[in-house]
Amino acid sequence: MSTLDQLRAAYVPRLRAQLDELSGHLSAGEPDAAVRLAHKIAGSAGSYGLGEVSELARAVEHALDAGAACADQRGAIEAMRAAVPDVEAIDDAPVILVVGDVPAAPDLVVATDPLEALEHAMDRTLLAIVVPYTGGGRGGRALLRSLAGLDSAGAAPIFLTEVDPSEAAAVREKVGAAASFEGPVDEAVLEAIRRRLR
Amino acid sequence: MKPCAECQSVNPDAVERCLVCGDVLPSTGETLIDGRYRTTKELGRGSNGVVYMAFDVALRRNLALKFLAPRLSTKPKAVRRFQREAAALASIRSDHVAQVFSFGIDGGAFFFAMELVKGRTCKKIIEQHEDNGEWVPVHRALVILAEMARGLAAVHSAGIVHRDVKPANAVVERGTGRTVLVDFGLALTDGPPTDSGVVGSPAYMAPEQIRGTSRISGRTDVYGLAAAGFHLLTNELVFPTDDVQDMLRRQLDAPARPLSAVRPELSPLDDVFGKALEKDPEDRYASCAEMASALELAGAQWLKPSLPVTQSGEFEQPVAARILVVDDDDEFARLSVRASQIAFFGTSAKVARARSGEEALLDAARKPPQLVLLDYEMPGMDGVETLSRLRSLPGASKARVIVISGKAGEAERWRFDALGVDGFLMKPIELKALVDVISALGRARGWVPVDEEEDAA
Repeated sequence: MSTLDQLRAAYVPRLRAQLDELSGHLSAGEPDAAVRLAHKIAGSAGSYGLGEVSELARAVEHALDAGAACADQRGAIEAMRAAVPDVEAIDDAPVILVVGDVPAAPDLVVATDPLEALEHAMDRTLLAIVVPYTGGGRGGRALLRSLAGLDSAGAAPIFLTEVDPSEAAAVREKVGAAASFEGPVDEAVLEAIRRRLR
Repeated sequence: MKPCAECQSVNPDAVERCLVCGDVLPSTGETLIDGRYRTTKELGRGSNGVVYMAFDVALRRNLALKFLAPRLSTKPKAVRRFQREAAALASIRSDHVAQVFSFGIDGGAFFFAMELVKGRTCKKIIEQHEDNGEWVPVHRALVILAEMARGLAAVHSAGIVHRDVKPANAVVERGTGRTVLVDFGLALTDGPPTDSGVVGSPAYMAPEQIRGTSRISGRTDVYGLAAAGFHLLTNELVFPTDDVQDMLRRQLDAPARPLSAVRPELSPLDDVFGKALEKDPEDRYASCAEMASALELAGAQWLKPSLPVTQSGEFEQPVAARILVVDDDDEFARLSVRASQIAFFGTSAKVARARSGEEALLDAARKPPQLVLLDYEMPGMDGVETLSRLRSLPGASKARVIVISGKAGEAERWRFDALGVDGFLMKPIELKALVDVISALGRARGWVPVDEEEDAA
């Protein structure tokens, strides 16, 4: 699942709950609350790629703003519900985030690019982070800087790969890494990390 | 030199249009003014000269070049006044005064290079509000006046009187919201007023200026500041008349009407404006700083913080860029937070979220943000009021701001011109588009590295 799909998959259940809430406001004859919620849905649904839902919500907002009756908007709610796509259930089991080229596994989320890894780190609960200690704007060190500012990744231990053994101790101390490996990530490295986590 | 075929004026090689009549001049290939400035476009034109936007190829930055009109370049008095304006500005260090970098002559044309302040003049801001049947929010207007007063205090400390304080000569900078005084074309330095004839703008002109007496002082600018403030707060002039002679007569003799005659709710400010608009300079505030203090006291009901915030100097100094997402909608806020984190990839930027204007101000007072992604339509304190108060917080006053609106759209953008914002986006907006806007601003401000770099994690 791409990071955008993951984001949308997480959003859809919340959107469905918002539509239920909107329906409740309309049934209860609460136009002000309905306008506020329709306004929010119009702004966010389109931003999550659900353009039809956004347009329908905007129409409800405008109609109620213009004095239309709540009861007349119930059809639009049904149309919005119909326009919400079915999405895969998100997998929220804790995982090891790996930046590198390794086969997929149930306990791993693998990113080939550090920026993609950052997005996964925002979506998933992390058991550990495995990242190459490489420089450059799209290197592992750039990811580590970004993760430092991300509250959700704060507790996960960091395992560094591609670290020069002569600098390993200093690098581990600087990054606060749990361990480091000389080569790139592979099955042997992952197995060692799994053992540490057990 | 380029002679103009239309009016026969002689122009510097680097300009594309005649400085006198505006006619297109023949091209002579790219030429740099003074060996370093490349003009890019005309910004404004007056009777005494023309202002161009230019690029300084040596320091690689945009700035403004102000040229004295060629017809005046042969008049020693005009050249002296022009040079005096440049020298006056160059001697001042203030966030609220446009800075001059250099003075020169190129091909017989006198010019000076100065700070380029991009934004809206207060005159334009007043017009925008008037066109929409509204006033500039009182809080914001008072902050703008306080900043103008600070700029004028710096001007007076340098021994200069501006003599042309008016809304058209105060610019609210885009992006930072700071108010900057520009156009010191009538500035008068200390010493015998050798050319103190009637100069200035009638609607904001103090009586002693109209009389052309030698009593020009900082108190003359106090009057101009009050007249400009009256306009900013009411959309009306102190003496509303289109007849210049009538205007001048009333400036000399008629008592200034109180603000409350236009807006009764502003009656707490009447005494301050009444004193600042006294006919006799001796009866006015002695300085703009004194007037600003009085205004702060009288305007406490608008200026007082709506929330308990930390005092100046107590806020945390950030070690990395700090981004504040202000949005009452959890779903859109998630996207904004994510977009910020992606845009600032590779940095240690911290992204914080506030669910209301009140929460944003508390957060910003404690940890000043460099960038704010601000929702416009929020219950309680909306985006305009939130930003107005943010702009008066120590540490957070110059935060760059992107406004994100779900309803109002471009038609409401004018509201933010008085506050200085970098961008105005409409919801819905795709994540990638939001990332691109934030990235562009981050790169421009140096928060996001443009080149790959080696550094420590």
